Amino acid sequence: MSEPRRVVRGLTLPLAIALASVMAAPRVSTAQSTAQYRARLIAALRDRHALRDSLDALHAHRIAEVPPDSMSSGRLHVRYSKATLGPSLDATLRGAVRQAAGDVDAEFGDAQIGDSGAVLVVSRVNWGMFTALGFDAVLVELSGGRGRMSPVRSPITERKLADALVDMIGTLATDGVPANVSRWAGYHTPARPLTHDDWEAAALDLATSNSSVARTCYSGSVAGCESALGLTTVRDSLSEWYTPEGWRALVASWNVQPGDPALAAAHAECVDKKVMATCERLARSRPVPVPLDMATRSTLFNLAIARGGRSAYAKLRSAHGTPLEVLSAVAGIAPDALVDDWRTHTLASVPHGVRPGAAEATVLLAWTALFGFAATRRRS
Amino acid sequence: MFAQVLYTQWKWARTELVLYVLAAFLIPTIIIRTGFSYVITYDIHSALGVSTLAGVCLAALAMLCAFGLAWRPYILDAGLKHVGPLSLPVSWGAFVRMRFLAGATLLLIPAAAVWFGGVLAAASVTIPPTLHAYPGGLAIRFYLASLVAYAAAFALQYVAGKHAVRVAVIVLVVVAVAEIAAQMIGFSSIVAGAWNMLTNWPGPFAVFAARWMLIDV
Amino acid sequence: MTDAIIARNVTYRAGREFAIRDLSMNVPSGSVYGFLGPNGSGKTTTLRLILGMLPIEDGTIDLLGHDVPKGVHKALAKIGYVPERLHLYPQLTVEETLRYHAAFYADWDHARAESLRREFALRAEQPVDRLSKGESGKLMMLVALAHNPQLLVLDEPTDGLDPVVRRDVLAALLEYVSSRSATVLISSHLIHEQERICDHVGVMDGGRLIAEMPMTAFRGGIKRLRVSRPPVEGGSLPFTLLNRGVTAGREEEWVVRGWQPAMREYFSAAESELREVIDLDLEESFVELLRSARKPAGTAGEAS
Repeated sequence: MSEPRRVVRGLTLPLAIALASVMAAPRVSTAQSTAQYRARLIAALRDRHALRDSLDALHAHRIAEVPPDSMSSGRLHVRYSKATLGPSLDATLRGAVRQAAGDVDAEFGDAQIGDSGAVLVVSRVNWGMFTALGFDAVLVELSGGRGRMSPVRSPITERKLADALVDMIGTLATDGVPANVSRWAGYHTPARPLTHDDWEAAALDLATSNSSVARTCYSGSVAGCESALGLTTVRDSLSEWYTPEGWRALVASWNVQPGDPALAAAHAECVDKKVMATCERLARSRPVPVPLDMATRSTLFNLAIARGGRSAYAKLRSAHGTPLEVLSAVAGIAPDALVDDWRTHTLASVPHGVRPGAAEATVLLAWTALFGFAATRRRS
Repeated sequence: MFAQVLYTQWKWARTELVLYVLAAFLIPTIIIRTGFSYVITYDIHSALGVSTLAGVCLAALAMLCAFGLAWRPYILDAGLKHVGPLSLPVSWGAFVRMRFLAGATLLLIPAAAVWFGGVLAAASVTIPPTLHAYPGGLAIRFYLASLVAYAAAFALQYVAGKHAVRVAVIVLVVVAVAEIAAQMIGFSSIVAGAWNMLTNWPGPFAVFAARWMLIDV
Repeated sequence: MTDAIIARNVTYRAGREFAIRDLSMNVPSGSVYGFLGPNGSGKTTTLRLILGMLPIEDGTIDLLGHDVPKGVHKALAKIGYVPERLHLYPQLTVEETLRYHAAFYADWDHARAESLRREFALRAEQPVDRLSKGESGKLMMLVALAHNPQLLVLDEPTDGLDPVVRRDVLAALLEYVSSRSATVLISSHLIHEQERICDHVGVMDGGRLIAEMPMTAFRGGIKRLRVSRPPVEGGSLPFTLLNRGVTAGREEEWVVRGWQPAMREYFSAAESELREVIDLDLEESFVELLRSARKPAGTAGEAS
């Protein structure tokens, strides 16, 4: 083979991978000043409201056209088109509805999900990043024009469909969350039990927070945990949640755009030259973040629901007071006990994965032995 | 017998081993010390970021050590059509086992360097509260990861013989295409599924996706 | 005494073509068996089959009382092998090479190895990749002899060596054979060398063993006959006719095997005249055997 052809062949794969990476990469936004950014944001919000109204109308119109084939199980009612889904998907949907009905009962108990239960619409769509390369998917939507939908991509299994159905039911179950609790949780109130990965992320958030109250929480203070979770009333969040070194860490985490030289200079003065007065001024110029993020706070929410049993969601609708008081009422235990329980659960989820455990080591040695055995079997 | 097989393989690989040992020692030392000098107190995310960088480099080094020690014994014997091993009064299986175990033993050397470098690196920086150093755990992970990668490369060599490189390239290309298809257009294939099984617990290469952190929570 | 090597109907295929076809051979214990054949005739392949390095497709091989391939590594403990391409690891020194091989042989004689090393003038600390071709050959012979093997298998052991080195290697071999009553299977295309040391010979050509006989029969047993008024084809011959060809007019040259003086009677009875009986040397005998083996089946001579 000639040298140029060899070079071209050798470069084909790396170029293909690079091209694919570029096509999949997110777009980088252009630099702009803070004022310009604010104006664009407000305009976009206005457009969004108008768009949302149009989408809701379109959605309601589309759902009204779905043929009235239906099936029910427990408090779950599903509308779909048998002709569009086909016999194979029809059978899969039936199995999924049966599974989902059981999951709904187990996870949401007596939660209010509609006067006669939840109504969901299942339809078959073409889905994909590029229409020409699209493929079959199943869309699960709430009826009533709420705009909530969940696509299920191939391979479409009973488990995946059931999960999508239960996810939609979950959004109904959490419809009655008090507004202050929803605000505290950052509008992130999960309807399904969280996984170990979610708890692990919460544990990492607690262990790596640059807030002083998060560190006292980590060390054992329930009051520190309540403060770090944003459950207490604070007069001066910056001083109560962070030490001066923490202000510097906060400012250092900002992504300062080159289009604002004054901000860039102040940022450098705080981070590089350690001028604490500048750090404090900058930190106060923006909302002070709650030490533990939304995902972490949602684990407390989820723990309260889990402790509250079948009537947890019902109690959530009727509870009053501060977010901690509401969650305590849902869980049926005192606020300090709930937070302490959360702390124990979180710290137990701290990943200790650097050193392989006995199971991991055994599995790795077994694979090693298997490969070694394969090598001795054949003389090539 | 094993001692002599080990000695010959060590003699072949000693120059490479010196480089691996240097890299295994210097990666944590340089990255952690240099990185932590830029880390602000209580900016624990940045500290973990530095530790992650060192971990990624060590994971890559583990793979390099594994392939480096796996290919040489086979190539040297295959060049002479394995006449040497086949003329010895041991069965082929017994000889290959000795070769395999010799390479697995040599992998302990760079793993020990990881431990030593980790201890030195951790002692030379101020570790933020709530974080801890795990030089021993990291060295064990390094050894087990390099061992399983070595075993896979060793088996590929001895099973596929002179076609090993070709087989490996074809497999990698097919997997890359399947993964790109899965990520970009959601196209599930048996290849992508098999790759997921190998790289997720309890697959053999899941160890490379785990926490390779000298300094961690 | 049982034979050291007994091969029966051994067949081996490399790719689509048969490399070794229906080979049967016996190497008597205590003999020096010369394995002759032109380049590419299958000598090295046959040796590798005997030593279990290649898988046989059909047939059986008994090697020092052990079945190949099942018990071959037990037999290899008593065999010293010098291959055509030397299997020395270049990064090791002479001493390290000896230590490496010593670890595998229970009967390794360290004193003998050291004595041979000095005899071959090999420096212990010299790296193998710095040895000359002759020194490498001597080292391989040393490795083969140092554990006092019952059987020595040598594949072109002196190929490419200068006369001095060749002399050293052969001398060590002969000394070993005479002192230990060992069996030697030596493959070579250097016929004159084989003539000096071998007492049995097997001739390979095209993957087949075309002749196997004691060296005395090979050396003196093939004759060239000058015949006038030769008899026509047909009738049974008291000897094996390898080749015949017309030389001039009604005179022919016959190459025969198994000739005895009393066989002159045959020509008398056929009203032919046996003009001359010429002894062939080993090389001429070898060439005639090959010519005979390469002829199509059914023909014993060629018309000019």
